[in-house]
Amino acid sequence: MNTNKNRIYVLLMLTSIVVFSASCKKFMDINKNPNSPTGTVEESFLLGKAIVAWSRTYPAADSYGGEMSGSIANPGGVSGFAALINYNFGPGDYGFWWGLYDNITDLNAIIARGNADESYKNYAGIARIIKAVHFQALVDAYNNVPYSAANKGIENMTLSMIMALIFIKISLH
Amino acid sequence: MGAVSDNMFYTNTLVGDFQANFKKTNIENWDFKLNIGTQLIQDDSKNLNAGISGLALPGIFNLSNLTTVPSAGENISQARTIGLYGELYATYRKLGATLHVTGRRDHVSILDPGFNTFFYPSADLAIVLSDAIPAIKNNPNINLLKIRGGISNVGNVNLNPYSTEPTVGQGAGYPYNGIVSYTIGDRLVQKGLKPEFTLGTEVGFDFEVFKRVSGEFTYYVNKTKNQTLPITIASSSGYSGLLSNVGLTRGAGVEASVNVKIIERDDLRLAIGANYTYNDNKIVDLGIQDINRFALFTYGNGSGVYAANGLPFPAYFGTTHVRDSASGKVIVDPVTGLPTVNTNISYMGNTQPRHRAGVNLDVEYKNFGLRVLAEYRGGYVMYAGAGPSYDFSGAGINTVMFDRERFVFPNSVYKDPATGQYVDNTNVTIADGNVGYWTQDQRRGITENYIISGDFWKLREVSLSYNLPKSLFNNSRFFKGAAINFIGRNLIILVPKENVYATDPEYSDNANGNYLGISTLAQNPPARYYGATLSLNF
Repeated sequence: MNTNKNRIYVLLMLTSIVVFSASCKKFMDINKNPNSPTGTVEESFLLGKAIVAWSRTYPAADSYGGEMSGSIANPGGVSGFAALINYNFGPGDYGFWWGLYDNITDLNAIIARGNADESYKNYAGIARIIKAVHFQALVDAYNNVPYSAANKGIENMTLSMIMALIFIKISLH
Repeated sequence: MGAVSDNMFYTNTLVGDFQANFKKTNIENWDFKLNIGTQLIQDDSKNLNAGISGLALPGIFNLSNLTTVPSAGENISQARTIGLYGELYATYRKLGATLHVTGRRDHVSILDPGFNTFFYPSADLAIVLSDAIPAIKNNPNINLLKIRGGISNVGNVNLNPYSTEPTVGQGAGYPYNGIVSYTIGDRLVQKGLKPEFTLGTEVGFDFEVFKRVSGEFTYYVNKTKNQTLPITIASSSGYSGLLSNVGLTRGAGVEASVNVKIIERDDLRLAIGANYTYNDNKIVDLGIQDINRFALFTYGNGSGVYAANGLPFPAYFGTTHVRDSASGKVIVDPVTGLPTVNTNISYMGNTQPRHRAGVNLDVEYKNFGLRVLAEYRGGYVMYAGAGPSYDFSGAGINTVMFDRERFVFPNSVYKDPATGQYVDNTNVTIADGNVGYWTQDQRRGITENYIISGDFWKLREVSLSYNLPKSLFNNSRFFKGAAINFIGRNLIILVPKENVYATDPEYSDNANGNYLGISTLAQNPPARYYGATLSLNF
């Protein structure tokens, strides 16, 4: 057993530990996403997509209404498996439930910015109108829907039906 | 016409270790070994892809041969880990006892500062009683008796880099004509994600007696907390998922095996072995607000594989018949005789086997060798996803249960219009016992009709080998020996009667990942394998 050798090893190791811990902070601070923007973006960048998403949802809403009322026939022929025939609608069918609540998240961000920042009030005005139309569509399709508890993200992840007199609320907002 | 798509992927892992080993032997019957070290791990990857759709000139498959704007994508990632660890072995020769203690501290870049340093220790102790206790040592029939126990707390980060921050992406239809627009990402991330930790304790023993019989037994309890999983949340929250540390899971069980050498002669050897494991796992608490269960894989009606509070994992939930709560019997319509679907899903069973057992046989006679392996899995359910299709087409054996004639739904009740009471149904038949029931939602939309036991016994492998006699190769300069081996796998499967589909529960639907317990028409059919190999030794 060579004690001198051991001492050198221990010394080397201690040095490396000290070097590592000293440079750690910068060395380990590399978790910034280089692939896509994180957090949030300038709210004005959200409005264009919100309008497009609105216009993309409504052809589906048209099919939904038309097929439900029987004024449009199912072009796929007779299929016993379609959600429409089974009255077995999921959140993604016709892009209705999920598509609209998804878009309201972006609209809410614009409205919040408008409330805080006068120069954004025109953006917020447009967003409010789209949001009102979205809720009108949701209420038309589903009757009672989550409203004041909706779009709270992490604060309310379960579906709860807190329904208010929706049109009054929207006009007061 | 035509398209070109190119993808380049680069990945690199750099590991730097610095280790020091110390050893001291025979200090008053004690031996010591100590390893300490530091470790640096760096993972890099880069993925580049580009594509064009529509070639300008035919036959030239090159990205530059384009008519439209090419598509392109890039993904970069880098992660680092700094580890600091120590490991100590201490052996006391007089007792044949070994104590093994480890500790490791990791600092990872993937988690947020404040949550990215964690320490995980372990300790285990083994005592060879057949050395330590003279009475056992002197008993010629006991060759080995060893007891052992251990406890460990292991940390693990099960995440990709950059997962701790939600992302923002371009909206559908964008970029459009030089204009960009973004949408807030659909996945939320819990603030301060923590590493997963598994606390494991185990005790057990190994033995060998009469030089013929050996075996081992272990009892373990594992508790895992802070598993990092994306979970599905209600769409009305404005988001579709949440990446979070979830809950506390507990698994306990036994592992046991016995091997017996029945005959040990020069030209004949015969040995049999058996092993058994039991695993009872449970989600103690999901730990996500007031959520009692969340979906891992579901169908449109909500039936599917779930993780649920207080239940084994994975748990299958599905739709049932509407039942009379007093008698538990199925309620049918007093006129049509048809049952109704209870769309509130309920627990059907766990989809992972609790019992696993295996038996193996080894025979060697002169130049021949025979190996047989049979296995049992039991104590779980599976959903036969092909069942509704078989019922719809009339191919399922169930559909002839009542000869496709009118029938009274078994074990059912109906509400007597006169009294308002539920009375046993003996005479209200389903008017059309053919397509009027078997193709209907009242049959096919009820999950419990297709939940079957996943138990099976399987002859997993039989192999027969023959070693060509050595004397054949005495004159050969190249070949030293040769063997022929015939092998068959998955030869016989025995399933309980209720598995009318006679399908192999080990083959599950690939499209839903590893969530056992779902079989569908879209999966690969079970395969039986036969083979022969000729091996030559040079």
